[in-house]
Amino acid sequence: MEVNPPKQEHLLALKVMRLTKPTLFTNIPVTCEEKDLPGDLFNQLMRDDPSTVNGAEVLMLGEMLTLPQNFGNIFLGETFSSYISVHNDSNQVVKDILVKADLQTSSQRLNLSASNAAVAELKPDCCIDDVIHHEVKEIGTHILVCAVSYTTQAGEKMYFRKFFKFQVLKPLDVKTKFYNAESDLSSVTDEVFLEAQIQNITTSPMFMEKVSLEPSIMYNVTELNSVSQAGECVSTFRSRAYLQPMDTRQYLYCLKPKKEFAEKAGIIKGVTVIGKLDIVWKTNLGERGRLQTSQLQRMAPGYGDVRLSLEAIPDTVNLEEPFHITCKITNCSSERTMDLVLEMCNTNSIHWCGISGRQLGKLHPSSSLCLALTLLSSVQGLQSVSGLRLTDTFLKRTYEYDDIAQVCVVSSAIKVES
Amino acid sequence: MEDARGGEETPAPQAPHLPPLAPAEEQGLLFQEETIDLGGDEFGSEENESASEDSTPLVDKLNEHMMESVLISDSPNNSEGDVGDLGQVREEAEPRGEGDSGPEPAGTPSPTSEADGDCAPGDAGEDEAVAPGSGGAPRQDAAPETPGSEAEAAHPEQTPPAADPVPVCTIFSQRAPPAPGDGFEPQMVKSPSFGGTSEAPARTPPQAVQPSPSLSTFFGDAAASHSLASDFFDSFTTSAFVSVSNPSAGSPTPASPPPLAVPGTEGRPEPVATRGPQAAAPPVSPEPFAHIQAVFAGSDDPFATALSMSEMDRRNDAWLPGEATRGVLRAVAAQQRGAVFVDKEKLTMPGLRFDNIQGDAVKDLMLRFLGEKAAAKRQVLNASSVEPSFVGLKQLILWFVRLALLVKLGLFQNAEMEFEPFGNLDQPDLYYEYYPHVYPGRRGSMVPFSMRILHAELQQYLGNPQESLDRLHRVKTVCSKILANLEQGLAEDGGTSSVTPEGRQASIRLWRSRLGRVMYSMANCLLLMKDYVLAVEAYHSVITYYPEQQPQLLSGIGRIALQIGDIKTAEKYFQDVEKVTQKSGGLQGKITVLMNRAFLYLGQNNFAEAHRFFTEILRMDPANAVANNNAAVCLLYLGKLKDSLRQLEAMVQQDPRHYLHESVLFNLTTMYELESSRSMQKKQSLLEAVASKEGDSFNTQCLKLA
Repeated sequence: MEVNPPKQEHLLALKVMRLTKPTLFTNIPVTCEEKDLPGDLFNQLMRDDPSTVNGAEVLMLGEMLTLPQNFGNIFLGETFSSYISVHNDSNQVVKDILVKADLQTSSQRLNLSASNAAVAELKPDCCIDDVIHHEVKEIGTHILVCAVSYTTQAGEKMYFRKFFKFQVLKPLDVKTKFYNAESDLSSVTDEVFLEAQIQNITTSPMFMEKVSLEPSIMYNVTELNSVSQAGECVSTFRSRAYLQPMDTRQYLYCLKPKKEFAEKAGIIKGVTVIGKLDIVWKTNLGERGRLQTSQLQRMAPGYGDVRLSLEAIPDTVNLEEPFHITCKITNCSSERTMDLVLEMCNTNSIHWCGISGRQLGKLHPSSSLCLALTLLSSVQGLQSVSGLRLTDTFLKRTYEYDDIAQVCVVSSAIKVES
Repeated sequence: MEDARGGEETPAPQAPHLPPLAPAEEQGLLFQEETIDLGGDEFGSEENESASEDSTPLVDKLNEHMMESVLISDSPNNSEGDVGDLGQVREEAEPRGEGDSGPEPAGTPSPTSEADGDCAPGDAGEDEAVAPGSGGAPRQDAAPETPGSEAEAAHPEQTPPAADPVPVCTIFSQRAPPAPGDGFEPQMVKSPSFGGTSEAPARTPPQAVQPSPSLSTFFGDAAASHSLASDFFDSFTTSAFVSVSNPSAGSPTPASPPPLAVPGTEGRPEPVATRGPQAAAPPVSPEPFAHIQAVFAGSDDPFATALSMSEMDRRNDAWLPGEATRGVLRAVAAQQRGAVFVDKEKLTMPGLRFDNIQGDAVKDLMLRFLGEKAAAKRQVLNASSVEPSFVGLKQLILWFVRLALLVKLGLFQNAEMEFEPFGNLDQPDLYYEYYPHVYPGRRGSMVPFSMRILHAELQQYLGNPQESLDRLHRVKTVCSKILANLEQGLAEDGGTSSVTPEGRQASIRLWRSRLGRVMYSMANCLLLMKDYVLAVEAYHSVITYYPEQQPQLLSGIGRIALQIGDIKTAEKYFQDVEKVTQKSGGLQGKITVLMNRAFLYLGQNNFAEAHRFFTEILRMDPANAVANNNAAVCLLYLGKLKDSLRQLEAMVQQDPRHYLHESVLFNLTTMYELESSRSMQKKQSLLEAVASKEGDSFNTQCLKLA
């Protein structure tokens, strides 16, 4: 049987087996009815088969556990477990056995052995067993290096090593998208919505146990992935709690700046750190994996130096009847006091009432003023409020504000519900 | 890695971007992108190096020793549960192969690719034997029983039998088929007796098949060389046997088929698109059956008694034929004296496709590893050990039994090929009404209900679960309709009936249970398709048909949830089981509850507690094979290989007949491989044990000897 003679005879043999979770045995039910020719024969056979479920033999998924059948795949964030067995194949007692298991990754080398103490002696046909665990934190090639040293009866010091290589793959694909909600009309300000698409790029179904957003210090987060039903919180994914291979699921989160950051509008500006996604999943028989994304970042919408936002506007107005809106103008610059002039330009449908080009007076940094304006629409339908211009007289710079909001314009014959 | 760099990046706010993933915790550690340096220094730091290493650079050394870490060839699971989907198995084998050879420099020969046979301790490369040598072997190779090679086996699939002169392309060009969408492959048009349905082409060549004799060998001119088994079957074919299938098949004895007149076209069904011009073949009349009936007359043989219609028969054989078939059957009924012209293609022409298909894999292994003397002791039944008399006939006569056995043996391709002539099991000649002379007054399907189930289920094992589902839905539709008829006070087939209330109740019970059986198959099929949500729904509906199986089914659903990784849902189902069994009590209920708890602990990665519960079951039911095996499996995960082995071995020795199950053997051989370099001897002794206990349906792969 020996084809390649070993370079050196070793008294000990090292065996390694990856311990993924066991699987449940499935059987193939073949049944017949009593009236059929085999009578009860097939059914009896199935009852006698220990792998079928007692009393429900047709149920394919049995209860018998079988050991893993191959190395399988291992994914980032999962735990690599392995059985290491050193067996004395010889007929002599071997002394001072030291078994060392290291994991070499592209960046580091970790010792995984439970104990680094030598075993004093190993009798023939006995084993040294170790089960190692390691949460995989890197993608790419990993090499499990197992080294065994021992002393023979003759006092000769022996040593051998074995290498087991495996690839760690990426289990998930995560994509994110931010939406800014400028909802100054309500009491909330500067909400940010995060859409996160998570795709299972493994080959087995994956149960998403937890997908949460850990917000950065500036934000509070509300998860929008469940609905309240009869007082109970039900996931929007219902019974589809798992992701099939290549399935993508979208999660939605709403982030609100905390009070202390929200009030000073200037603080959340430019690139800000939103937080990170924390994902825990499980696969076969509870095999667990966990990953976090890096900090998600978002470019805060640029408001420029002067921000114009709406405080109040009716949703429905009558055609050709004046209505009022309230604007808020904020000086967002850090140290410059502004002297602003307001111009109002009519559009096809929107007509401003009052004087265009009026002075608004001095506006200090980070302060704001409220402005009541009157306008009317000459066209029915959903109309965009546009045409406000603010000019900073000091810098001679003009800021344009179009499509600030929309109103529904209806014929005055229809009574507007107030 | 990436995350550190992320700090400087300024991603566009609105565009979707792809945040790099980093493992939980330790984010800072990972961004050094150094490549591994396996050369000198790092490894050289170890002391005893010189003992076994020479001075070649370590990188080479590493490659030389590089191996896939773990283990294990195909499992019984693979071959049982998923075997139909060979494509899948192949897929699995592929990446393994890549991992094995990919990273090695092309020039480096891998040290030992030899199989597990080495017994020498300390062989430098022997651990490799544990790994891909056996693991990578695709399933097809592993069927040692086949004399025919794969190429040979594939042959009959591709070349149309000589009897079929139809070139494939003419079929398409001439007929312009109303394509049913599922790609026509040349292979489909192979058999002159092709059924009616759109049989999905076999994805893989039949694994263990001798070149298929063309049907004409059986049904046409007297062929020169019949082998033993086909002779045997032919002897039935000419007698009673055929009465269950097809008169045309049964009449090769008259040198030429009776010339059939009468173009009664009203009953003539539309030829199916995939059919070749050989539809011109002479059609068949039920006439020749008169003499068969005479043979049976007055005998107390069960087959003779089966000829008269009883209430039982009506109940069991009821079936609702398809539109076209119904037309033919009506025509037959109207024209008493035979002579309805039926397209031959619409009829069933079953035939044996294989002689001695499967050999005896256990014996082959024994020959290889234990020598001829040991192998001679091995005895299995084969066709020649069944007397060609009525006694033998009863054992083998029905196609259903043969097909069921083929499925049981895992010979799915073979079963499919033999099923093929039956089409969708709706040809007119599969109904009693087609033979008014042989079965006067008898109505209904000659195809047993179980055969319809088998016919549907088979496809999922061949990797076409969707076809399975389609067929099961058709069966379900008929079952539901029959039930509806019964509940409306009609007979099964929708006619008015004079059935007693008791008879009706019995019939309703029967058809409800059949409907439940179909739902069961659907649930199993959906499970195989990994459509867990639908599978769970289907199992729930099975409960309404088989309420007595509620604890087992709820537990099964819980295990499905566990398989997905949904521990919470599993727990919920297991709690439901506890509520249900509390009412009923009994040992079986207690065992189910304990088993579920053990599984729940497994799902929580707590092997110690799981082991405790499996052991608890053994205290109540020491012969419980599942608990025994599962407790042993837990021990392995707890690092107690020797204890685990002891438990499994003790169990197998205690009652080999009961415990020598594939799954147990698979676990045992896996552990032998892990335990020592002498696993070969131990496996061979297992083989000896298997040889004396198991039939030829035994899946030898679980011994991992090949």
